[in-house]
Amino acid sequence: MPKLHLADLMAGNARFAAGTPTAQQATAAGAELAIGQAPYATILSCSDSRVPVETIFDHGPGDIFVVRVAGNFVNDDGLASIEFAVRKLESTLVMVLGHSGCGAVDAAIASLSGESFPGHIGRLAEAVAPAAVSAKSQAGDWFTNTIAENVRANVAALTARSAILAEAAAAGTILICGAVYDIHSGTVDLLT
Amino acid sequence: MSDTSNLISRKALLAAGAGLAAIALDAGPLGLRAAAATNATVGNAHLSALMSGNARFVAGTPRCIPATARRTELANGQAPFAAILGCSDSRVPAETIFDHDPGDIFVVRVAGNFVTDTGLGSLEYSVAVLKSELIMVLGHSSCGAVKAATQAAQGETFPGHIQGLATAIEPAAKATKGKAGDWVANATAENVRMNAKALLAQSTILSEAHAAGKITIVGAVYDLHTGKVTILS
Repeated sequence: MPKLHLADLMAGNARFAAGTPTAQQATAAGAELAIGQAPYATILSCSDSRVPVETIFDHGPGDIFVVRVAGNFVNDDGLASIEFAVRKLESTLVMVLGHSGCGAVDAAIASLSGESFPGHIGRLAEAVAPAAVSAKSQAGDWFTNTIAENVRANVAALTARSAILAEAAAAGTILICGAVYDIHSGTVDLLT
Repeated sequence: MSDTSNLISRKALLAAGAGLAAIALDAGPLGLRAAAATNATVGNAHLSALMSGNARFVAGTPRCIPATARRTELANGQAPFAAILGCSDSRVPAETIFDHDPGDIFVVRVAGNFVTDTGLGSLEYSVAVLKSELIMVLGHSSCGAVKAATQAAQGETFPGHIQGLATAIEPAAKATKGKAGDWVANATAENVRMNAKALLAQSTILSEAHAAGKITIVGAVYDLHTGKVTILS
């Protein structure tokens, strides 16, 4: 079932990328949704205004439980939110979604050259920095590779840091995957 | 790398970090410091844009999203006028309930819409680098995290990291316990108010921008039944 759900999400993205969305324009007449939610998917994504999760997957309210922080990395409260979605709402698909042109990833790369950032912005760079270190020696574009590496690292972090998610993944009740959204083409590519 | 135009502006960050000073908070709407005139004007215009969008959503007459053309334009950079700290709840997609397009709203979401260090870092980035001028903390009716907080206030515990959500919202639950009306509804509003204040109390970047009249901060609650967003006073 988690795999069918992934296909459903990806089909929605194909409609979005093609400029032919079919999700009914949501209205407030959500009497059904006011009673409760049963989002089949949970997505950890970036705060970037160009990545509205529901829109890029052509899905409506009630379908996707969404955690967003600049740099789409796992923190304790985001993890708690995802655990809540899996344990209480029975979400069966968990996706970590990065995107091209990510400012937090750029900051992480800059931080490796000794750049520092004011206020709490430095926390974002710190959180993504390990991916920048891992990707530095890889062939190809460092920035692009760090975006993917950050997704992979956080996919791994979900089960490494959460017993609830690790158990659900081991039991096959959830599927965890990573993907990257291309802000030029509108396409989401699953990472392997 | 072709997305450089939107990448972090080092100059903007330096400017944001320059001359950091402590700001005392006065009581006012939401207990926030009174805003300068420019702040009120720009902030009100942005707030009107958001609220008009919500009215279209409520009326069932949302605008069509011109996804493809807008996407090409946005690939060169983002300039979201608003930043919203909202809940992860699947029924509260910020862009949808405010009927706004990709590129308009920078969005932080965590179950219970409270301020965390990295959520705060994200909002600071939106203000300091992307020049967002409106920040909204958005709660909603029937919030599972707020309900968990009211249960935590009565001694209930939760598995894994979920306890952390309940603990984060517990102050709002305790502050509203025994008050007239529905406890979860009261705690939801209190949680929004507390976190709108926390933005200024915990962030020098945001408190300075606010004092300089560059940003407006508001709290609001979304009603799952009617679809309406109500601004808290």
